[in-house]
Amino acid sequence: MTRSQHTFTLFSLAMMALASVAHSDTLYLQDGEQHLGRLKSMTADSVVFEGRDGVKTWPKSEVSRIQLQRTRKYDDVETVDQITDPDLKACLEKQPTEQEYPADGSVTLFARHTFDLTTPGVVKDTVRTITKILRQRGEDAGSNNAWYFEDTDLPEIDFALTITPDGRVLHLSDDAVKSESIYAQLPMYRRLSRLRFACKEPRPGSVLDVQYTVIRKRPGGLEPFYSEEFFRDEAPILRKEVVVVAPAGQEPSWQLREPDGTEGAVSLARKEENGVTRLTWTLTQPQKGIIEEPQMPPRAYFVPSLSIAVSASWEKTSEDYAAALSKMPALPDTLKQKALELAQKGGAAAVYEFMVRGIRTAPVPQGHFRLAPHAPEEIAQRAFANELDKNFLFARMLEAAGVDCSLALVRSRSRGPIAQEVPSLRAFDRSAVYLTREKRFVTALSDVLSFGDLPGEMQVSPALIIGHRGKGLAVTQQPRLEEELSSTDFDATLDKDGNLEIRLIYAGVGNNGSWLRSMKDLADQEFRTQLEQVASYLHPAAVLKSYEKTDLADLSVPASLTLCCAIPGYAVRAGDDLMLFNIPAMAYDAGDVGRPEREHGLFWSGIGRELISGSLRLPEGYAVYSAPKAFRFKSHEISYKTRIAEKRGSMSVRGAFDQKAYEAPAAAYPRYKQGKELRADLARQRVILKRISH
Amino acid sequence: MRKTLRILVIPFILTISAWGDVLERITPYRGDAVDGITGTTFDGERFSIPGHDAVPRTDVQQIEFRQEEKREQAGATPAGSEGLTPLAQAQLDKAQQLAKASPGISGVILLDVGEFVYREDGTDSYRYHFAGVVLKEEMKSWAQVTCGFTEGRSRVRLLFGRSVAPDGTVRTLTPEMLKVGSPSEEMVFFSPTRKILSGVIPGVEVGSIVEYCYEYDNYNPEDKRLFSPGFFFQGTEPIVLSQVKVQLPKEIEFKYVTRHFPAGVPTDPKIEESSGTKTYVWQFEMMPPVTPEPMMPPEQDVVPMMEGCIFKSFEEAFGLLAELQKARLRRTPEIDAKAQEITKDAQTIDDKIAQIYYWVQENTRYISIKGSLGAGFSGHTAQETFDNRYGDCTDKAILFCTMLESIGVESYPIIVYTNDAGTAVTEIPTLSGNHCITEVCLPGRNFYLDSTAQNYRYPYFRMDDHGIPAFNAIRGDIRPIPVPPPSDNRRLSRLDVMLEANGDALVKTVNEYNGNVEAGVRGFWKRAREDSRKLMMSEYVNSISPGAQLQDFTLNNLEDLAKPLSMTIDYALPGHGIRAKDLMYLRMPTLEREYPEVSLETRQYPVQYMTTEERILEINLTLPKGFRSKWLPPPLEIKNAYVEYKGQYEEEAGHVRLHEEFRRLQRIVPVADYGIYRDALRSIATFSKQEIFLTQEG
Repeated sequence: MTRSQHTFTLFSLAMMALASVAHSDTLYLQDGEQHLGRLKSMTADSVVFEGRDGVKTWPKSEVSRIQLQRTRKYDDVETVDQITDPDLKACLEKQPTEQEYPADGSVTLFARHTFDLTTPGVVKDTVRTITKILRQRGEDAGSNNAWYFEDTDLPEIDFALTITPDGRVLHLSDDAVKSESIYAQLPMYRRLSRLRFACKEPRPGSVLDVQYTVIRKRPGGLEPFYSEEFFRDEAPILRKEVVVVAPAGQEPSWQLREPDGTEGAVSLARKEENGVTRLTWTLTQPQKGIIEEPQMPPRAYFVPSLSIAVSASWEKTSEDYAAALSKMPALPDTLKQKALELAQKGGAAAVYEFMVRGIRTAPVPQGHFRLAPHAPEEIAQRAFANELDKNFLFARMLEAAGVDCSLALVRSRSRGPIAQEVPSLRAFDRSAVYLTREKRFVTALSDVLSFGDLPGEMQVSPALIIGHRGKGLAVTQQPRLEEELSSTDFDATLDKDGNLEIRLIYAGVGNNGSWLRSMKDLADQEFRTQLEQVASYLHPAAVLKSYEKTDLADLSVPASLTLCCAIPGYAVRAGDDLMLFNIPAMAYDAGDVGRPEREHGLFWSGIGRELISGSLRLPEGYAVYSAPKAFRFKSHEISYKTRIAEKRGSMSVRGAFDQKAYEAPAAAYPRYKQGKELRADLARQRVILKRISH
Repeated sequence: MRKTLRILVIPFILTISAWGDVLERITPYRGDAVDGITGTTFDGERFSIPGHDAVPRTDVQQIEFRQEEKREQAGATPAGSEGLTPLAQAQLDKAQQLAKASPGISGVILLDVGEFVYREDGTDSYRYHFAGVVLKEEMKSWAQVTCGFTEGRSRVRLLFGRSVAPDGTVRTLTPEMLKVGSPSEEMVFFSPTRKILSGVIPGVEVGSIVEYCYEYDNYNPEDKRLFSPGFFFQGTEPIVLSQVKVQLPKEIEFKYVTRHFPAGVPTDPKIEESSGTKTYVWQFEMMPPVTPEPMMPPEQDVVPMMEGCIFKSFEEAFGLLAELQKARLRRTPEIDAKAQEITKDAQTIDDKIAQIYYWVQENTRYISIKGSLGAGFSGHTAQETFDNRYGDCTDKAILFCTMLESIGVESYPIIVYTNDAGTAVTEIPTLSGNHCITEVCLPGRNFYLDSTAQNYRYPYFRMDDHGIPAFNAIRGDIRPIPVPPPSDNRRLSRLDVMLEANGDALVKTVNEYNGNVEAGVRGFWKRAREDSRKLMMSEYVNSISPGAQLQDFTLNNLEDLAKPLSMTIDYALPGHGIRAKDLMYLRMPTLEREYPEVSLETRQYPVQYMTTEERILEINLTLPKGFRSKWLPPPLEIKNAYVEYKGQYEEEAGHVRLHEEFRRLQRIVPVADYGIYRDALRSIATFSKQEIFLTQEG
């Protein structure tokens, strides 16, 4: 490109006008250069663009593209004194200082979420948030997402302003806006998208005022209107409103949930005017930011929340979904035949194994796509499907094999308690298959879980069994502790020089076996590399001599792994007469219970039992001088018991730790902390041997 | 497999005379785009589009221009459902041998064949042909085919994609199974023209063979000199045939570099000549898989690779980049004023540079907007970044250099490959990098700073910049960035431990830091809520000894980058000393070390760190009255080319003192010296886990 070909016209006044690049178009040239400014005009052959250096004329052949800055509300506002919007003005007048919120990165000054349901089959969803950034870690508030489905929804950024500490009002640049598909790499599940944008000058002291609107087509059926709103977040919230505008008499169902200690946090106002009902839920008092704690429950458990949906009953919801599923194409004969063959060989478990191993799981939650599954034949042919599709096909194949079952939707425990008064298919984030005779739920999700093992987050969870007439919500099963078992057995010999030869067997079932099974994909060399690293955790000097494993991919065989290691210098010789070592494989930590107290309750991903047992032959000429003190501990949430004994030159160890509860109130924490600390303390104690004098 | 385009944006050029009229595409905010038109005009308010209604400016999002007769959409060429190509078929026997040689492997790649073609008009294409046998469920992921391209510059077409099941059933990826989309990026990245074509080959099961071929066509490159083919010949699965061909017009000089070729394998390509073109061919057969090891170098630094270019010289390559950079390094009155304001109280030139370094780090949020080659290589103008108060590494480096110029300091934006991303090619004149930092030139000394970070005290800079080549396009040279000495990545801990006769201990700790250690600690605690910090520290001390009680925790100068960060931690450890009849034993708090990087007995690849490290621990343990040591771990002293260590206990007048010094002297430990390094770190880890024994006198 020859620059002299361009017509240069300098306008010094224009440069002044462009001193602020608040509303700028971007000119992209074929040679890769770009300029910020304003498109002034275009002829059939050329583009006239005013940039920082003045107005230039470019042949169209040298231009790649021009991105025009979108016109948005408040574009004319350049300084804080020009602001007229009452909500923003109120926020700016009463904005808190950094000192008032010494712990927070940002504070939400005002949030309003409006659902306008006045157009049949359409939800006009408007979100406005005014945020003040207090510190560097609050700068993330400058980045925003408007989530939408690309086939039914239309997003629009109404405005995104930055009010700087010195009173300038900056506007969003369209360079910093991007529409993108979350599952672009999975065409068959491509639907969820986001309009992502970044505000200017998102630094401490800036106030950001962002509003976007998404027009969502929600005709009902499998695409019902449903929303869950929370009135507390990581950042403090000073004001928040949730507004629903609906034709009078067609108000949605709603349920306000105010967990203990939050009663009265949200008030409701109802207003009827011109045939329209306006429901407004308002935060009655500011909410402080949420402090993160280990093993804390999802916020749905402890913050005020509101569930809203089109009115329905659970029974009707289930029946309608069943009716929709019944219209799906039938299972092709080949798959029916396959199901029968599998069931004859190994019952429902064989069909399960076919599903989890034969069809790879696409990591697309049903809420990110749609509740209408793909056709069974398509799923099977593609051999790649999300959980809902897999369970749909699984149920169809089980039915073909004569197994009485139904598809079920499940609300995982991480989503929080279900709003019983707001029936909706959208309340569920997972799916399963309900085996009627066994009264158990299974999900064909993972090839590291055996038939009947439900992922921890789906245990004891609300479920809707599809098509079961007259039944409301069910609850998924809780496994027995023995069904969620991990065990470590060892057999070791210590010599008089402190060297240890040890054989360790790790085994696991249920979710506690999945870590072992997940190693199934490793090649032998990589497997060995991994095991050498496992051995090094026993002791820095550990040398892996050999190993054995079961077929970790075979779900019908319990997963186990045997390591044989030599550990030179395992026991420390302390002087001439003492030798000390720790009990192999007994390594516990109490870091997660270090806090003296908690704000939130306790929440665990699952229950289970951890066993350790082993024997260790002592070197001749030595006797146990001191050993860790065994103890028993029992609380509602956990229990632990150990036995450590010496007999005829050997030490034997037995330990059992039970995690019995999925959740517990904060009041249970001191006792839980005590139990975990006792266990960690046990691991700290050494076996001390003393040379026996002859 | 294709070497990732090691460049900030995808390059290349166009010879305009080869094209016809400029075609236009008008994309409105609502509704469908109008495409394939010519002669659109704009009067400042409305677009007049030939054959269509006029459109107000406010309704138009984008206008694109291109010089093509016909725009070909990314997509698939319909393919029949025939079985494997003969080339793939020919590799099957060898695949069995490879599978046997690598037991437990998830799959064997039959074909990994790339072909770059550079055309006379400056456009280029890349065709990739893959075939692989799936041996475990994990490798069913090969069914997922994704090809990236840049809208308006390049396109991709899938020539065919199919699976052949063990029973011989052939399933085909058909055009309707493919979609083009804008892939999701991390929140801070905005690359609006980046698209992908993706699809999933159906019917892939264990035992299936997956085969596909796609073509990437740079039909509208930005600069024809940026043609830079690259290829890796090894991966985590064994490969029967890995081959790359690079075809260029005969008259174009092609420069290339190869790395990591096994001994005995010629690095020079086979050259095939035909009418008007020259083709360079590199080929590997029966490549074993790479088995990952902890702390190994990036894969691209261990596998055989080639990279090529057509720049005639570094001067030419740097000239292109320098022009882009210079156009952005423009001082403005606002920038000058801010630089003066920031530095007005600074006394020395170092103080001034430091103040600007802090300002750019703290006042420019990381947001990366890459809409063009210019933005990709050199970011936006200094003023744009200054106005927006956001930008990426290139933007921040440009702004930083411009502000330094405002105070009379010479500096340059520097393109680098961070040390976790593979070693930059310096043997041939290419332009590639994944990061941009700043070189500062003061009389008698040049040094580097990285303003992309947010927590670095002057003159320290990010550890992934250490020990790598620095490309200074404006000055036109490549210089090594030194690895700082361990003393510049230091953690100094002093502990006073008061032990009671019942085993309770009271610990008072003072920690001081510099370099990357300081930045890491500062960043961690800045991200934590203030009201959570003590609680988090409580968790840490409870992991030292269960039942620990944090008594006080202070962070000094956390928010002030100009001052060294230090920390004090006071805590009680009930029962830390464990009584065993007449003995008491305890481990020194915070002494325990783990070195997973030496967990393997032998290694195939070096151990690689980002930088050096120094750690000094001094513990003064005051014994309970009447106690003395019965046994103290013997001293450990190690000194080799990679690590220096001294750990020593001493007892003196009712005190046991531990003095520990650890220095990692090098960033990389080669395989040949792994044994001595492994033994050294294992000895240190063992030393760190030993308790001391006390006994009560009388």
